[in-house]
Amino acid sequence: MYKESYYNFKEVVNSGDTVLYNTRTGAIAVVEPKFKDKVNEMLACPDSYQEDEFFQPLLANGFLIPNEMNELQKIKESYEKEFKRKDAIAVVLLPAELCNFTCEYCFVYNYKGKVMEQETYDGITRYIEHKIEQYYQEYPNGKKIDLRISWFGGEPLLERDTIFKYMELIEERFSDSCMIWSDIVTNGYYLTSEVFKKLLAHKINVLQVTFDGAKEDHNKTRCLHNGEGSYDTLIANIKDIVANLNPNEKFRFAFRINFMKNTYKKIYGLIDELHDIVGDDPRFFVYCRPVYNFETKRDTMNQLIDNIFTIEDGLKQQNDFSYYIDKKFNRVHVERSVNDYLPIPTVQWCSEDNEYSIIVGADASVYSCDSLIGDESVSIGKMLSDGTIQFKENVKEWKTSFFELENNKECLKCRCLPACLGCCRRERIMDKRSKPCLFTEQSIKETIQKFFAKA
Amino acid sequence: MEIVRQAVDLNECLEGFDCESYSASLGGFCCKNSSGFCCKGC
Repeated sequence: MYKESYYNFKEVVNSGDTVLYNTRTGAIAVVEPKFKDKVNEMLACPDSYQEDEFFQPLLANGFLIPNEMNELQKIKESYEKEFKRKDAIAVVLLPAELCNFTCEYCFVYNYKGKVMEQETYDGITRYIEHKIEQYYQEYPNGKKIDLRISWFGGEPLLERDTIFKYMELIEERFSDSCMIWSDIVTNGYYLTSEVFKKLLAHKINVLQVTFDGAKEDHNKTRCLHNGEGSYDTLIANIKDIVANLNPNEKFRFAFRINFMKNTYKKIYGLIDELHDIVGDDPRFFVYCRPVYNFETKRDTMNQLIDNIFTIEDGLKQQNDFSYYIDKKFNRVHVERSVNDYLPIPTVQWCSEDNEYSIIVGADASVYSCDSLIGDESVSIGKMLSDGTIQFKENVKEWKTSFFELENNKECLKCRCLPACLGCCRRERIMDKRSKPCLFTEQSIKETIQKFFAKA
Repeated sequence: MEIVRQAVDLNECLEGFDCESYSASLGGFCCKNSSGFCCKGC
């Protein structure tokens, strides 16, 4: 016995085609007008159509499900399996809580103006050791642990020599017991080909740099303390990296482009320029995101506030860019990628929404959200030199499963739940929003209408 | 009827931090989702 999934969306687009989309599986199907009625009947009364050629594809892709399946329970199980993973350790390190740039919209909550001390690095090393010991005590024959070391800031490459030294220690100490993954988010100013090669040599092979639009716009916001723009240096560094690339080098290099109402029109030209430099090399990819209005302890955001898109309009523009990027870089939009228009299901909204991830600031403060770094009043604890974390009372609200939160009721009924799993924890906690949505059922319907319409 | 995107196997996302198996294809530094909403943007 079968039934229709609760998470189906069905939209008839301008061509008469029906687009089926399921948020729990991420599957998308396009039904020609001549099969529309049949498919609708199949979804309403599936048991009568078990021999039909469409039955198995609809079942395999989750549009139809067995009667006894509890989809919400399945979603919860996937989330909690990831949330409570014991075989994963993820540490975001802020080696420098200072930056050579002065971006007005920077979401860092406050600036500390210091670099990480050796004592804090030592504490983190011992924390990882403790976690590994605990895991193998519980699972003596357990597989290798996934250890992720992320470098963030401030500008992490201000401390690049320390980063390289610490990665050597991580490799030496933990490569027997862990699979080591490492990534870095940098403004790219110091990312010459030589530094890039050193990062790869130290297993830091997932990278991101950010643009704020075309040259003129980028230089207005991403400038040095003396007011000098950074665009030419960033482009020169990327060209230097590409010119010295080894085809066998494995890495993923993201160009994130932030956009606002006053900058987005020229961003298509920037995408063209980046494509001219890196071509269709799949190791590079471009994606665009609106600047978000995160509250900080500084007031610099206020100067930009009129140019920040609403969540809804930002998402629409983001999808427009995605479409353009996919065509430009010859990538098929239905592949699983960050540029998907229709969201794919997830096991967590945010990389920090689990028990195994922490962010450690330069002064050993521990955070659970990268937009709150730099202020102990919003931290969740302190990393001690012996590797233990002295947690504060507020850790409970950050490290509790979404499914155990009191203010999740509306989300549990939402058909977008598999794609967002409650969305941003910061907005839920700090802004007391019980439904901090990025996607809505309405925005999904509009996205289907827009991207599956035929000219 | 054409299936233009197959169902995603979430179990893939539960193994490792390999960017190739991440649903977001963004590697370790970002959310395991397609929104990128809380991607680190500095």
